[in-house]
Formats: sequence, C-alpha cells, structure tokens
Amino acid sequence: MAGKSGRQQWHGGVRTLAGDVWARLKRDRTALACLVVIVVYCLMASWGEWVYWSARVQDVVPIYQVQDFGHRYEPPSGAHWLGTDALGRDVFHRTIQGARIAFRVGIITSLLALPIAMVLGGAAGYFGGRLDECVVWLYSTVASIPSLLLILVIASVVGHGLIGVYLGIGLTTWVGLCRLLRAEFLKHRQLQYVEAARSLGAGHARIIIRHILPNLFHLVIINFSLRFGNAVGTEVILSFLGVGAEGEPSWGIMISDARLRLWQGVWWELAASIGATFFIVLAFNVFGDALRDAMDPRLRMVEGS
Amino acid sequence: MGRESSKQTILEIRDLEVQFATEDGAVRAVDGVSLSIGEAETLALVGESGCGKSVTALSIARLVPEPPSRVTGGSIMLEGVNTLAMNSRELRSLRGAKVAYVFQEPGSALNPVFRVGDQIGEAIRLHRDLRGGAVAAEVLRLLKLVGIPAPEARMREYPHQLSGGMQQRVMIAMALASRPRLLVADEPTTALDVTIQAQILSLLLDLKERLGMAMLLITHNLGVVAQVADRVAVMYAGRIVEEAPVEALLRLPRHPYTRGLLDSIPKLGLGAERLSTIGGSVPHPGEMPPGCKFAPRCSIARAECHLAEPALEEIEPGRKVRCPFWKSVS
Repeated sequence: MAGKSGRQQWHGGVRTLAGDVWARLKRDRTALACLVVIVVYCLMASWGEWVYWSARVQDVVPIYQVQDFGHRYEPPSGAHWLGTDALGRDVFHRTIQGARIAFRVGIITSLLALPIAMVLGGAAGYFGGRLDECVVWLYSTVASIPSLLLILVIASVVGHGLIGVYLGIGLTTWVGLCRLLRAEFLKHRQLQYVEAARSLGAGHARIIIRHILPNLFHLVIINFSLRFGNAVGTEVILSFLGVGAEGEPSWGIMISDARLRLWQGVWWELAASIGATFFIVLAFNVFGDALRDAMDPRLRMVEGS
Repeated sequence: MGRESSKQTILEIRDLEVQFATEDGAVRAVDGVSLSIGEAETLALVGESGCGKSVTALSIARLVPEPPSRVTGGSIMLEGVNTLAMNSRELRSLRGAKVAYVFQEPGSALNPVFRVGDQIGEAIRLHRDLRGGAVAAEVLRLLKLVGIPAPEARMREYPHQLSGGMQQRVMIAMALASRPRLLVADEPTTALDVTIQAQILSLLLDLKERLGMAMLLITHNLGVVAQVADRVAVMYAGRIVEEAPVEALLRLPRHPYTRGLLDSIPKLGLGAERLSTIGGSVPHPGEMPPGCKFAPRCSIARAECHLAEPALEEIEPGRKVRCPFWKSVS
C-alpha cells in the first residue's frame, strides 16, 4: 500500500499508513536492532539454502556434513571459525544450516497456521451462528490440549523428520490469532463501513476479503512476527527431544549432541547453537511487540474519529 | 423544485411490515407503511429515533439484517420490480446500481485503510464496465461533481485526512458512481456542523436537479425538510401518521404529532418562552397501546382514540392524515 509518488507533498506531511508505522518504528532503537538481527539471520538462512541446494544439484556432500576424524573437537580457529564437532564437522556451517531450518519452520508453519486462523476466524466472526459455534468449539478443544503434547502426537503420527514438525506446529498454533480475528470480525461486521459496502452491492466474500481483512491485517503481521520466534523455539525443543529434524543440523540436534561434551571443555558447539537460537527468538519477540506498539496508535487515531 | 406529480413512479412501497425477533417475541418496527416517490422527486421521511424510518429505507434494498428482522408483509416496487422477491444475487446488482445510500456518519462509513479514490473506484467497478484509466477519470469527474477542491490530490488521501463535510461529499460521490435512480440519504447531515449541513444539503438538491434522481431523505430535522423536500411523510411508532406537500404541512400540520414536532423547534428572537415539548415518550414496541399509538401523548385525545386505531385518510388531494379529529389540530 505504500505510495510511491511524493507522499509528503500535500497538506504538510501527509503519510501513508505503512509510512506512519515505519516512522514510529524508526524512533525505537531496540526494534531497529532486532530488525537488523532478523535481516542478518535471513541472509544466513538464504546462504544456507544456497549451500544446501548447490550441494544437492551437484550431488556432493555439503560442506556442513563433511567429516574429518583427524580434526575432532577442535576449538575455534581461522580454518573453523566456530570449531568442529564430534565428527570433525564445521560448527559454523552447521549453525548457518540451523538458521536455514529455523526459517523453513517459521515460514512453512506460518503458511499453514495463518490461513487457517484467517479463514476460520473470519468466517466465524462474520457469519456467526452455527458456524461460529463450531469454530469456537474447535479452537477451544485444540487450546485445551497442552500444545507440546499435541505437537508431539502429530509429529510422531506423521513420522519423523521436519514434515512432522511443520504439521505439528502449523496445525496447533493458529488458535490465538483465530480467536483474535473472530472477535474483531464480530466487531467490524457491525461497523458502518461494512454496511456502506453492502449498500453498494458488495457480496460477503468481497466484504470479508477486500474490506474487513485489510483493516485487521496488522494483527496478522504482528502475529506472524511473534509466532515465528515461538515456532523456531519449538522446533529446537522437538529436535532436541529427537522428534524433529533427522540427519540435518538443526540447532536442537546440535544442542543435544554437544551437551554431553561440555564437561570436557567443548563449549563452542553448545554456545553457537544456543546463542543462535536465543538471539533469533529474542529478536522476533521484541520486534513483534514493537510492531504492535507502532501499529496500535495508528488504529486508535483512525477509529477514534 | 419540480412539483409535477404525474411523473413516472420510481419507488412504490405498499403496506410494508417488518418484524424484529426479540427476547420478548416478535416486535413490529414497521407496520403497514405505504410510500411512493416519483421521478426527480424528494420525499422526506420524518420521525424521532426508533420510529422505523431507517428500517423502512433500508428495506428497499433489503439491507436490514435478516435475522433478527423479517419482512412479514407488503411489497416494495423499485421501477416496477419487487425487491422483496429478489434473491441475493439480484439484490447485489440492485444495491448501488438502482438505489444508493448515503449514511449519517461519513467518518465511519468510509473504510479507514483505503484511499478515498480507490473506494470510489471500487463503487464504479462494481456496477459499470469501466477499467483502468477510465475508472480514474470517472473518479475525478465524480469528485468534481460533488464539489471537492483539488480532486487529483484528494483522491490519494485517506478518509481520516478529510473533514467531515469532505468525507460526506466522498460518500455522495460513491453513491452516485453507478448513476442510481433513487438516492436514499439517511440523516446525511446529522453528524456535521451547521454550516457544513447547509452546504451538503444544497449539494444534494443541486445533484438531484442535475441528475434527475429521486431522493428519499430521512431526517428528524424539520429545517432540513423545509429546505430540500417536495413532500413529507411523518412516521410515528412504525406508522405513517401524516403525508403532505412540504409547504402545506409546515404551514398547517393536520396531525397532533406533527403539530408537536413543529412546536418543539426552538425559535430565535421570540422572547424567553419555554420550548414546548411533547409530553411522555414513544411507547415501547412490545407494549403498543391498542388504539391510536399517539393517543397517550396527545393533547386532543378522546376516549375512542384509545380503543381503535384510526385509518390513514385522504383529507384533500395529496394529503393524508391518521387522525379523525384533524380539524381540531391547529
């Protein structure tokens, strides 16, 4: 929605809504720092993706899987920036691959959970009645089961590997946003702009998608940022427990491998994987909160008229 | 103002009855309302809050949410087609195209997250085969038509950047986007400043003359009625109690309720008289009196008024009153 053409030209600094949010975010230094962290991880993940695919295309062992038994448990050095692990593999490259897996988890589970939340929450709130009762029953049921337990069940039913993690997290984490969107749709369907749209001949689908959802999309964006960090953290836990990634260098697997050698002074693998997890989860959470702060005053200003 | 009554009829509402389901059972919000509006004519529907005037107007395009409401009787003919018999697809192509609405609060009737030009553009695309640059040109034309200065810049602004008067002009532009035959203005000036009210009213009048639209104006403000309307229908408790040409009604009201409404308009410069009011309050929809609905508040009510409801009588051509004692109203 950002305007390209001279948005500052009329009536003393008129801004687009997206521009307004950005102006607010820019003043928040913590949020900016988090954004930088997220961008760095994003680049790491992209690089990891490139390494992964180029090794597959060329059908060679990727650099992060190359074993070298002559150089096991080597501390950080010029050759191995973050040292090597029990099989002599490069910890730095494995950490980068961990970012790749983390971003895959964050993105794919969001692609599952956000549409579920939008469709169910929107339909329940807008149409109400029986449909609403069914949706409320469904999300109450899902919410009443401890989420880690449910994820473990789904992941082990689907089978091991990341597919189980994607489905497990994706199919259980839509509840919060769904509940929020349902309540907002309930409110918005009675607002006059919806009645005005109806009076112009707009149908239900158009009203839901083109009129109400854009008013609530900030909630989806904020939720995306907050849930991304949580999904990454959950994947690490699952992989640590042995239900997640197999044979791939997830941070959870690295933590699980490295924790036994800590007493021998091998700290680098554990530090790299825990540090990598910690900063991305922190960054997404803090950034999500800042995003909410930046978007809410805008909302009050517009709706309060 | 065009006063020829022999013109083609645009809207003909006959014996409309709308019920609402409440916890205390069904309640009749509109009870046997009949109205007609001719080509290029303005009918004002007057009454206090809750008298059923908005429900009547929204029923034309079936915009009252069903449930809880239900149309239980009557017919609404818009250019000869009964809108009460339409399915939802037919209704969508009716709304905005043949009958368009302007609402009370322009600030909340515009979608806050879209530029006003895009919103008018959507209204155009919904019913007309214009695309791309032709839509933008039409948006500009409409903004000029409703008297918005610097329309090229304004169309790129968001609703909250416009004043209330400008927002209402944008709403009117949206309503005019598909050249409707009937414009329903539901208290279009109530939420605006007095000076802006006058501007919006004269804009509506001017547009009606230029575009030859029929207009149904809903208001509780008799000053607005005097300025804009050709004919007036006064509603009370879901019924029409008086219908007359505007000058005749304002000069000589024939129903005690209309009399009361006119008396409760504050007058400037007539000394420090106390403003007269109508005593009592509108009966609760669930507890309607059996006879004349206005009888409990009426100063000239007699015993028989409380027993049977009087019919809407034509006392002279174009003039109807629901009061058998209209001669004693003065």
